[in-house]
Amino acid sequence: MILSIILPWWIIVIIALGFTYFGKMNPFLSFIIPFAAVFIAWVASIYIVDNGSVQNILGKLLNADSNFTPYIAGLIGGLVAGIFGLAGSYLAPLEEALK
Amino acid sequence: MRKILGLVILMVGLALLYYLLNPISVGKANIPPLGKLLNPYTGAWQNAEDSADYSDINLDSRFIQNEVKIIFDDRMVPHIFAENLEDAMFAQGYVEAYHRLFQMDLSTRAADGRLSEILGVKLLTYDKKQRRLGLNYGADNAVKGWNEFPEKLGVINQYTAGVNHFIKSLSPSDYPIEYKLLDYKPEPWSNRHSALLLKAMSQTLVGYEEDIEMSNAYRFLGEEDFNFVYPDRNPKDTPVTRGPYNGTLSYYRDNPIKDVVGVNIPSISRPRSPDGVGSNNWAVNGRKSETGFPMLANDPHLALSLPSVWYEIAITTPDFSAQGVTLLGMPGIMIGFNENIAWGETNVGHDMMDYHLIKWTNDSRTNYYLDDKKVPVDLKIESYNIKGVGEITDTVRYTHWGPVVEDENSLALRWIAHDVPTSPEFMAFVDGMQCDNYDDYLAATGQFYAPAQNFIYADNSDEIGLRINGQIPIKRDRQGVMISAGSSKNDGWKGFIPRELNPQERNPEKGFVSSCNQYSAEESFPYYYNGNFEPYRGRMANRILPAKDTTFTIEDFKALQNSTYSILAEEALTVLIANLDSNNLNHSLAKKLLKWDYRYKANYQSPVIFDAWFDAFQKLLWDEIYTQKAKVDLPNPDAWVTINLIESERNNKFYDVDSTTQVETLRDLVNVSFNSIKTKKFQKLGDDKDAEILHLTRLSAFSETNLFLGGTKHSLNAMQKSFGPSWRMIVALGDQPVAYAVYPGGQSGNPASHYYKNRIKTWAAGEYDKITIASKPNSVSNPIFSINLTNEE
Repeated sequence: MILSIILPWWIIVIIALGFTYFGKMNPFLSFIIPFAAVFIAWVASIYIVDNGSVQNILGKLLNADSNFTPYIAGLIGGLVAGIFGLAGSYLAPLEEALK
Repeated sequence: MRKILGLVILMVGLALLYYLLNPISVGKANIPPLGKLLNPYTGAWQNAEDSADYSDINLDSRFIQNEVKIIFDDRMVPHIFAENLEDAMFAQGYVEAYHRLFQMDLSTRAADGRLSEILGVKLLTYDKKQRRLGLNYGADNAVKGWNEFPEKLGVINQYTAGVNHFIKSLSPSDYPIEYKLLDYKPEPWSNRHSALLLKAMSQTLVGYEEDIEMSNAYRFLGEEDFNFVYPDRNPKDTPVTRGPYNGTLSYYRDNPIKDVVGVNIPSISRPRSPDGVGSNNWAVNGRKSETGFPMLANDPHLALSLPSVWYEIAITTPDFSAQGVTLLGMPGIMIGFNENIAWGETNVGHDMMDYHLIKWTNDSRTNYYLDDKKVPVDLKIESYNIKGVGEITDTVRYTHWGPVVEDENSLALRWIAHDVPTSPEFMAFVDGMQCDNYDDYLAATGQFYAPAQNFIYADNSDEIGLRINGQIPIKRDRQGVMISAGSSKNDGWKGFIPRELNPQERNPEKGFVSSCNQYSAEESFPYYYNGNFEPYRGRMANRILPAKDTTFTIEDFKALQNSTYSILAEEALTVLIANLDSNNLNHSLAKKLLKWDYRYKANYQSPVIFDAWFDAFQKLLWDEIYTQKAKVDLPNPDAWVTINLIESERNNKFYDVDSTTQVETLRDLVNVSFNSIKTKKFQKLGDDKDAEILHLTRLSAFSETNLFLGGTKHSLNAMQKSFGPSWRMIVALGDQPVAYAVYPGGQSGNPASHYYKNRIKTWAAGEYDKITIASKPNSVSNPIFSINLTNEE
């Protein structure tokens, strides 16, 4: 979350990839941990910066309930992180992944 | 196998990342890069605005000489307090960019034919037309003209510096939300951008012509019928100014054009002044005002947009304090008041856009005939950098007259907006806002070049005045009504009317001045002019304002600005009802119309019924025209021509409908047209109009729709679906001038801001905000936050 403030938002991709490549986790955890971390970080950040005004606009733009828009954003960020986390797990050496 | 799976998942991830970083086209929809848009750190969430964001800001710049304080009041109007004019102009540029950067950017791109750079190939046709109309050419010429006045350039240079100071301060997370949606960055501002905005205003206000359609009409109807259906002058009109006029009768006034180019040309699709553009203003002197001091009112009618075309601002230096609205991109206050005077403008509406027919000497169209000589065209290569496509080029031919707008039709455009101005026109509103007497105001606004406007004025010494201000071409009689010949320089304008001879009134005996886009002058005016003139609003103002022994109040002026009374309906319906058969008179629709007070109120059904009936009637009356329109473009006959005809003639050949064997009379047309609407269902006007104020990008999420409003094109409250009073201002002068004003929008261009459209409700209700000039920082009412600018050194 902190790194995303000073670096491009897609730094989560590199962090997720590196975390699971060196983290020696099974595929399920390799997906769910980055997914959850980014999802929570993004949704929390949105509720910190937005007083609801942008939620309303984005809801209209996306044709969605405005209350869900922070979660749509969180899902997108989480999905990206999760997929790269999963990729990192599969790309890691096998014996490390099974430990 | 595992690694292969890992690589596949990695590729899927990279593909997803790519589409989150780049826009996607799905059918007709363009989806913005969702990753950029929705991430919380640089995305749209950063555009949220609440009271915590309104904390004081301290900035410094090398362009500032002394400290400048900008205090934003509770309507988010910036009050600039500066020690000198140039610092004030820097601050004006800064705050306009602060609130409206995207609007300024998009408007300049639209004028410059560069929308396809950010919106893709679907805007290429529009861009090409804009470039062929030569707005960019006009902007380049404007800057060329301005540079001839280096001693004045400091003002506009400072304005530009202020805009750029704001732009440079932005990080991607700070970009206005539209930049994030469209995935591009702000570019530096220049004086050329200001010139482009002025040309965009020219296109709105003096972009009227019907040359092709009128030429087609002349060929179709012949001279006699052409002059009957499309007369030059409405005998009922009450012009802006009355004679006698200075100057002797122009030689050209009574020497009509000899080359009448009556051609059959398919109309070309071209950006023109939108229908409904116009404005009202009036001023009464102290004798006709309840306060004993003059009062002035101005409400410009333009395409309504979000953000609004206007931006309210207050500027104070040791020499003056003024408040009003600015034309974004241009320094100064365009419509407003200071401690001594009030001023405003309406559109003059003269035709200063004439097409000339080029005779080519060769098939490649590289040379043309001019005064019996072969003259080469100037070829200008226009380059378009289209988003998602790349670069393409288009070659535009420039002639003595101007650009050839459509190669297929060989029409070159002579347009006032192309001229190199011979005065520092950008100073007109800068100097004007500082004046305290009419002579100085006339001198200041005399710098204004184009598009010509009716400049209205009132001051505390009980002077009122109105001048048709700007360059007005000297034309032959009926010149410019149709396509002009283009093979001789003699086919063009004969120069410009000397400014001192432009029609004007100063302290007239009648005690008021007014303009509502009607004819500028009586027929005795020494010079010929043609144009698009409003036939009813001026007459309405001239019904009310001359009232003897009447003093007007602020409330009277508010009522007048909001008046939905239609003289057109009054006159037309009188004849239509008188010719209805008895069975139709007993119909429920007719009974409603009989009770109608000719007002276009939102909750009335009668205006909708009348409009439908009158429209059907006109189509029957002018069936020859409407039938021919299916084959070649002709102008619609004006409503006033219809009404003047049916009021005065019981029999006329145009009453006969060509497609029937019988010979119809006026009575027949009235009843047949009424029969055609009898079975229709009619809504209330507010529902039928379904007014809207659209965001510049037309995104409904950023727009205001389903507005329940009254008004009509020809009433003083000229509200149509999306055109109408874009600013309403009434100023009561006196020891402490007070103004009442409102516009349909808000100061902020940020759709997420409380101040984005917070004034629409007030405006829609016909209400106003009260404004008094705060000449000191501590007299700004309910300040929200401030920006302090200091010198960098």
